[in-house]
Amino acid sequence: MTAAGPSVALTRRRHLPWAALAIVGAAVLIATFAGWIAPHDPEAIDPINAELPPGFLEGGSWTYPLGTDRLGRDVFSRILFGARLSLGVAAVALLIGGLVGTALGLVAGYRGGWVDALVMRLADAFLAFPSILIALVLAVTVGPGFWVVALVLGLVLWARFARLVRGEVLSWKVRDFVALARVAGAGGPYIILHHLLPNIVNSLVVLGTLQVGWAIVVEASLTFLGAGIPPPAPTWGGMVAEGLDFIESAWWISVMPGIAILLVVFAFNLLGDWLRDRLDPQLRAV
Amino acid sequence: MLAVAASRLLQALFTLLLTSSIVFALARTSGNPVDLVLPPEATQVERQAFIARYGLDRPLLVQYGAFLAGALQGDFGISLRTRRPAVELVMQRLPRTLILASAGLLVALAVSVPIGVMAAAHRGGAWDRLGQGFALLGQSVPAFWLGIVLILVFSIRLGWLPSSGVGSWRNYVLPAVVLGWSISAGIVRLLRSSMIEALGAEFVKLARAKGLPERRVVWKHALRNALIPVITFIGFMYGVIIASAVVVEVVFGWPGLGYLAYESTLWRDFPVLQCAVLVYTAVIVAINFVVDVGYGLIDPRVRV
Repeated sequence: MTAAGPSVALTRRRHLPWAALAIVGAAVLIATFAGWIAPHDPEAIDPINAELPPGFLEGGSWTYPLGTDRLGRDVFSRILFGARLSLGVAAVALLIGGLVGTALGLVAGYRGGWVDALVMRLADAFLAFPSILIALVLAVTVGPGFWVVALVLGLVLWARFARLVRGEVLSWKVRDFVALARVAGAGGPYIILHHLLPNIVNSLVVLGTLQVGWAIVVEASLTFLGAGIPPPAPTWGGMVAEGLDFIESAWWISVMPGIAILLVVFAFNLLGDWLRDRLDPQLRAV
Repeated sequence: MLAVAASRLLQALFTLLLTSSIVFALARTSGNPVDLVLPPEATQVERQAFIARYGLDRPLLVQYGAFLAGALQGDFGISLRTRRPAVELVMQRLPRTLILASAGLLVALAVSVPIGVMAAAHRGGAWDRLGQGFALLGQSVPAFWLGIVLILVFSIRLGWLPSSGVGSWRNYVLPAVVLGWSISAGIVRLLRSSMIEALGAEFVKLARAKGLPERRVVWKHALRNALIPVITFIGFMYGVIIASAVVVEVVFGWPGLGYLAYESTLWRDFPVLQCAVLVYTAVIVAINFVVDVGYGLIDPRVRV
């Protein structure tokens, strides 16, 4: 997208996205300190107060600010604890996918030849991979859980990282400083770690930030289908699923956790977009 | 051209092989495959017969070969729940998913092409901001939740559209909108950037210099060229849309392939699930292959 040049919208968005940063910061804090912030135990059942509307609605009580679910559990506290699981899965998946993908992308791009062909064909195959369905298979064979979800997400993420890194390496390795390093006697691993990797870090940060939102949405979708983190753990996708049968009488059970997903994912995407414009204008087409 | 087609075909087969081996490996390494494929009430004799028939005492690689040979002939075993061949159940559901996915794709194009074009034509203006907001929101709203909110508003509160089932065209509206929503963001982004590129090209300058009205320059000359990357993207998008159809079908009780896979998970009906996953992959891979090769036929620049 070289012909595009910096757009007006681009320059306007150069200043910090404060709202996005605030939401991301709050989500990370909530995920870390959910136990101290939450007003109730997220798994405590209170049948007398089941399906209580949110505090701002008629018949609601501010003891349960966002209402209660069919078992009388506090929706607000469950959302706060849900942040821990959602961000946790996303972090683990990104770590797996980022490390594996970056390593393979570096080697494939630097070595070229059959190594490159093999890694890229594998990456293409994993990108065409029906991850949601593989997660269903895993749920039946291995049983659903935190690590299974993280692994499924990682299986797709590594390929995205590998493709990006490989492309960057191809453009960096023909530069003079790499040739000079080789003349000076530097070996392959040294050049990869000291000359190529530092130039790619920006792109990695951008891609990583943009993939957090994707990971959260897919984790929530898998949990919604029963192939993610099993109940009674408080998860956003699980809460939406549990509320589905009560959508007529108690809509807040499904709607509230969805708003939490929306806010956090929106903030991460906004932040990722800003980072991309800021750090790496070449990436704008990704 | 033939070389391109051959390499795409190899890639497609490779993806299928990978998926099948993962599914196979998962079925064989986690616990006892007999328990996955036979109903729990099966007798010891039935178990022995099953092990003998499928050669579960043979080396894994031999078993994998047998599994692949069976799969190629459409033999995925018998559904544990309905006692019918798994492949029959899957093929029966497949058309409904394809129709729904196509409807979703149409909705996505109808919404995102105008937005993408206007955003590029009025770069930095109100349309551009609308387009970027739309793209950001599109990536951030999970499809399953959007489906539930639409049911709440249009089925329960307003009573305009049915919340589930098949039959009339009204049943298509909500699921197609949700499916279309899930890919619109990507199309808007892609079309906007390829439109901006096309609008800066020489032939557009020439069209303008000839004094053609701006509307004609944008919607005919520039859009035609800007659509080329979007069309290649459609193959990829179709894969995404078919995958998100699993979630949408569950929300709207749409009896397609995705819903079948979901049900099979609940019932632990492994033969059907296995068959559904492989057919799913085959469809995605086949669409990508057709789009890639077809694109090469349309645009000679790709034939390198």
